[in-house]
Amino acid sequence: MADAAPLGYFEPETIEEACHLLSSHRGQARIIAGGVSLSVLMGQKLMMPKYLVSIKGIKSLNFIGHEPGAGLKIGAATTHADIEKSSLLQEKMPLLSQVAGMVGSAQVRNWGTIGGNLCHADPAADLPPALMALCAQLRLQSSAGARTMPIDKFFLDYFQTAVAEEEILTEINIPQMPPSAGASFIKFTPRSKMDTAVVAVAVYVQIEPAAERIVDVKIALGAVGPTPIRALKAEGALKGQKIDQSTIEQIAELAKEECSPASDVKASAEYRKEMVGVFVKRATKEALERARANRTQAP
Amino acid sequence: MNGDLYQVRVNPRKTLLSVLREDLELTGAKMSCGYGVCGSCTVLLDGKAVCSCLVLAFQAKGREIVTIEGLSNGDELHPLQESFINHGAIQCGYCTPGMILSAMALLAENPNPDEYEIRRAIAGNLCRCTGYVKIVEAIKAASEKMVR
Repeated sequence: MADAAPLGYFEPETIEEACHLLSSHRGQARIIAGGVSLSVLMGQKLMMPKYLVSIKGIKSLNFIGHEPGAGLKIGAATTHADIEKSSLLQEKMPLLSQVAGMVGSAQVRNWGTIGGNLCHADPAADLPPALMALCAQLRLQSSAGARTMPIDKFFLDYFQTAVAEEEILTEINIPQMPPSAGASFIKFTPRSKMDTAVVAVAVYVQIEPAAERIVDVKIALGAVGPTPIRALKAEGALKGQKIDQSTIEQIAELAKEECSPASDVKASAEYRKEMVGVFVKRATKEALERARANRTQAP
Repeated sequence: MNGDLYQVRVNPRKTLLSVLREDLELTGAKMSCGYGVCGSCTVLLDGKAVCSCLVLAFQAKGREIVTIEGLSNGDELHPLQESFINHGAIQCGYCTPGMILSAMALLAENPNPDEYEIRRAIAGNLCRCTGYVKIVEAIKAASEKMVR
């Protein structure tokens, strides 16, 4: 959508240069990676920056790496397609590859980035709940310095994150899964195969295999509130419990109570709540199966 | 683009789609939803299918672009184009350029896709006319012809 107001753009080659551009154009500049989400917002005049700072060309933001003992590191400007197809991730964190492959269409995955997806903070996005269940840490950088934030603190409201005005999300770190741990993600799209989630559920469990007891659990829900949320009460009720059907039923009921979905053209709030229960059960069972299968794997 | 080098001076607000259609008069890529869900604007950027309505023109600088206009060689159609015609995969034709380019990107990466892989690759290209059956058939047939 052409507009009379001129738009300036910059193509910095380093993160430092990009941060400097953000500070020197205080409040008037926005970061653009692919621009899959930003183009839409600008077209609808919901965002009208005077300057765009393109980070597509910054090599240090586009990578997938693994540090033994620490975990995985992904540059914020890595495309969903690269994450989906990464043989390193398919080996070390296959859930992430799987979820990245569910984002939008091939065209969106080829151009959109993980960082852009997180910073856009669509409450129905796929990666946020999955990364929450995996306890991702986010690295934010500005001219003043850098900080690391757990993803749980990142989403504040609809389309609003904790990224400060002059900050850039640079990296996503995912800790290595311990042995006897597994994770599952379910994206419920009743209308068609490719759609925004009506309900998204991510579950991570770590078990004590001999006792068949749950040592740690994380349940994250997407598309059922203004931000993705952790179902903390459900997690609390499940932690330390033996694995059996009635426990799983119980936490599904708790998870339903913890979400506050809205009704829209895709589904009513009541239906979404009901489906949270259904998919928390399924995702928990799947995560447990994977945790059991993982028991022989070292970190 | 399509094998040639183009130098275009554009307003930074312009998308790649509007540069193709307005500045370069290549109207194969279509404007439909304008926000990256219908795929009628699909072009290949460095071999990968993207929605040109989401790519700002300046981001395409220095990259290889393939549009539908670049597929045929004079009068000789690309096997995908021929296959779409022969299998009745074209009705109004609006989705067709994007559909063919998505298929082309698929076959470059996966020369022998099964039906599921084909449908997944064109999931971002909506068609209101055909119901997709003939499109999938056409892509499958083209893949077989192209491997030979």
